[in-house]
Amino acid sequence: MWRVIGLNVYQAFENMAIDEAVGECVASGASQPTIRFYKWSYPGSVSIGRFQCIAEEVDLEKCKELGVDCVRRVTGGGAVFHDPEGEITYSVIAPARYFSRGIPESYREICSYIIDALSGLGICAGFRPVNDVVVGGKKISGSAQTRRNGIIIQHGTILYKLDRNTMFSLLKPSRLKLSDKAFGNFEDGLTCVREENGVSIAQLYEALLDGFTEDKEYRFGELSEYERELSMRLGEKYLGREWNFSR
Amino acid sequence: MELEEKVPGGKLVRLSVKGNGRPKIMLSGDFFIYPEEGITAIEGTLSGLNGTEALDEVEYALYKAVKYNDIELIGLDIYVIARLYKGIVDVESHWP
Repeated sequence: MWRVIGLNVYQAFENMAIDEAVGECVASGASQPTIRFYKWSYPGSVSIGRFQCIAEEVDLEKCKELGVDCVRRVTGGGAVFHDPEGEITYSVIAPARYFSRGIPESYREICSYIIDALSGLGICAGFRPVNDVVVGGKKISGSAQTRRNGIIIQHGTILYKLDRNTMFSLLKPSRLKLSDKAFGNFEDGLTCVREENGVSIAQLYEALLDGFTEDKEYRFGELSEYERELSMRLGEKYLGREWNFSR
Repeated sequence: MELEEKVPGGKLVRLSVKGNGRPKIMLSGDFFIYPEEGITAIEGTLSGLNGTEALDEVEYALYKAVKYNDIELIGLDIYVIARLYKGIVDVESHWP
């Protein structure tokens, strides 16, 4: 039986702490496998991958100017601007045995939930290894996964609306990343649900709920008291320089 | 000094070497390493080299580190790390 935690809004450090706390509780058996949907509080946040150098990837001065928090994820992958109105973030936290043993295959499996959801909205999307969902070659969703203590934590975003100007005023991706892409700039390599289809973000959320829960036994739930306490303790890590500026 | 390379179909990999004497080596990028702590073993392996090794010797040292520590690399491989390392040490006259 899965637990589904419906859409909530948190600050950057809280979102990362909650995913880690739920991961610990699922690993210990104290919590059920969990699918969680969340957003990031105003005016948005930047998350960077576990192995990225924060100063190379993010315009920290611009973040400060706009009041945008920056947090390092426990997962690898790239830097993301989390626009409060522009995306829905998910996490899937479950025993690794629920998924393919191979990490690339398990990315594909979990991303298939997103592809199914988009299909339900009439958007034809596909998986692009390692960790992207694309529409017409343009990225609409990115995910990142960690495995520890016998569980998987995979989280990712589904873009609903794009504020490319703000995104690329905050992020500083190396142009080398375009070297094996068909487009000449980062802005053209992205798309979002609203540019593909006129549905509302509420309709996207409903479609994601369907895509992620199809063929699963589940119930809606909330964080347990212990998960809340643990996430408050873990939040200190995600607020601190030691973690966020470790690279 | 730092060098970066985009792995075709994979991820951006950047290697930086800072300081003289025993320089600090840092591998960064948007790749995935499982378990994540494995990056310490990779950086430690590079730090333990003396800078005069041939490319295939660097690759073999990284291969052993990955194998011994049961590390899985996704979006990068030992060959790109070794190339970046050699690219830096070959122009750094003060190495190590």
